[in-house]
Amino acid sequence: MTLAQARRRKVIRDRHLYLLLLPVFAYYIVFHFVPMYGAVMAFTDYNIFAGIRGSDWVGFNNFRIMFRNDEFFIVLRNTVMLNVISLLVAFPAPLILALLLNEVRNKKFRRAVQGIVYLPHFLSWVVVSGLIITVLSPSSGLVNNIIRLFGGESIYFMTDSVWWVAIYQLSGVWKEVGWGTIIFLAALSAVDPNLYDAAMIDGASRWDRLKHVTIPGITPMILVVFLLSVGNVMSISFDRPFLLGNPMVLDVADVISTYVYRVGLLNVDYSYAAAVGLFQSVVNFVFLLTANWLSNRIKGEGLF
Amino acid sequence: MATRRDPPTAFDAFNAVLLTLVAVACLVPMLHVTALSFSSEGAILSGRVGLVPVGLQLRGYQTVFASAAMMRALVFTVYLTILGTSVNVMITALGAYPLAKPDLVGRRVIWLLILFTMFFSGGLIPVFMVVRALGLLDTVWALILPGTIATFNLILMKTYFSGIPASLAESARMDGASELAILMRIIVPLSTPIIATLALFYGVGHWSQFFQALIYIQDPDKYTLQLRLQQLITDGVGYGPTVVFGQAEDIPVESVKASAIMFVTAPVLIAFPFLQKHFVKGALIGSLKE
Repeated sequence: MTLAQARRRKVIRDRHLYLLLLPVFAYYIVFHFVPMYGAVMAFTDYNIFAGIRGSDWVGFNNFRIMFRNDEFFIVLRNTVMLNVISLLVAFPAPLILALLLNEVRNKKFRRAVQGIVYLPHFLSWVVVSGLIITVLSPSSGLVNNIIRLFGGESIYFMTDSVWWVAIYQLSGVWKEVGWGTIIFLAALSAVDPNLYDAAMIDGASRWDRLKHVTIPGITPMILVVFLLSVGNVMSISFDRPFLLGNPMVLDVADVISTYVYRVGLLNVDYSYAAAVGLFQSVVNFVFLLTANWLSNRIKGEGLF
Repeated sequence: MATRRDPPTAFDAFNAVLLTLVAVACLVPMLHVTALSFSSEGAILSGRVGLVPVGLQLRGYQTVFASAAMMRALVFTVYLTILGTSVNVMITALGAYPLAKPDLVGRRVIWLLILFTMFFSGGLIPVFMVVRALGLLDTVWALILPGTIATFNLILMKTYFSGIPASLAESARMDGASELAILMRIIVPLSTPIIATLALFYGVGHWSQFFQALIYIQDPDKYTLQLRLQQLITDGVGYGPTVVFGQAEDIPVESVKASAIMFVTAPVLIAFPFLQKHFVKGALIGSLKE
């Protein structure tokens, strides 16, 4: 029996399994691969009634318009800026919190803190933005009530661009810092306890053990999480900037996803918005591949 | 890591205080908004409400519960969550079961193509065009089908199924059981932890879904709770309450907003202890590499 015959026999044997996969294939084709083909509309002057084939082919025209558009560069800058600040603020926060939790000896206290800090992760951005806007309200919010109590003036947090960026970052930390510790805590619990014992016999202090056992032990995980964040530096999902944002802070709050929504779906400039979206997808993909390649080079361990 | 042999230090005290503050910071916004939801409008507007209600009243909640728009959104969102989660879990299981079989011909190629969709997408506009072309706009299916399978969840379930001994399925096959019967009668009953975890993942996802409802739904009868809440809080300057509750009433706007936030959050808070247990486990299965 040849290899091809053996394969054919296996396919026939498993025909019912392929049948089970049909809805799965249908989903990935219809909602992932068809839109990948559909992205070709970025190269046309898309007419919604004519479809992609019936629309005029305009080559790179939409991309040329994009690169000459000041608004595009503002949203590009905002996307990268908000993400780079997040790399500095939101990336180390869960790592530090995990290390602090790891030093707690009282199991009950540790579990209680963990339980509470996971909670915000399960709230939607609509709810979180509602909480934040309410707490920071200039007239009735808790924060400004306290500022006024001490004789200060109310701060308009949500409508001042500089404050807004700070609130955007803090809201992300508030929502995800607890959840982000899980992956680091798992890595911490996987560090070989014998290494700690050996270090103690050598007279290492807690600080020494942190520096020479704990941190090196979880470095691969830190690197993986860091690279994933770097790989996604070109993308911000829609909800957070849209829901926290308002017309007063569009100069910092408008990012690629909100821009594509506004230009494409509100102003129905489909092919131009598709071009912006395709540009983002391609750059993001290249970033992820590069991040993975770097990870392989540095640690011999990639994401995929 | 500290051990029993380490003497308690100033750092331990500092750490305990710091972690307590972090935990408190996670709760304070919710406590403040809860206090607002029970406070009188006058007390709220004069900035006197902190973490305890001032001028206790229930008009905020009464307004929310009396609102036809909010109640319709509640019914629709519950319907969406139940229907969507059932579809998600079923189709994800249909994908995970065959793909967990190590000698399925073409498995590697299929898996690579599926993983590729995690890293590259055609973008929002082409997906919108597909949903539109299928005639799904303004139907509950627009909120379900484009996210039928979350690939991350498929990975979790496939990993779990791979851990079930192949001999169990094999002996059922010998007895002439169909693949669907094996999946339903043998694999699924052995997989309740992962199914519960994924149902919660998908369920919270549907409950929190905002963007899809924003772009695919125009019909006010099919607005989700999150969409209504967003209209109330952030849509326009002060028009929100009129959009949701109509013009006529003289409503205590600030306490209504706070009540609506708590109303939408309450189910998540109630489910939280349950969620936490399963989610943490699920997130850990996911961190194991293939």
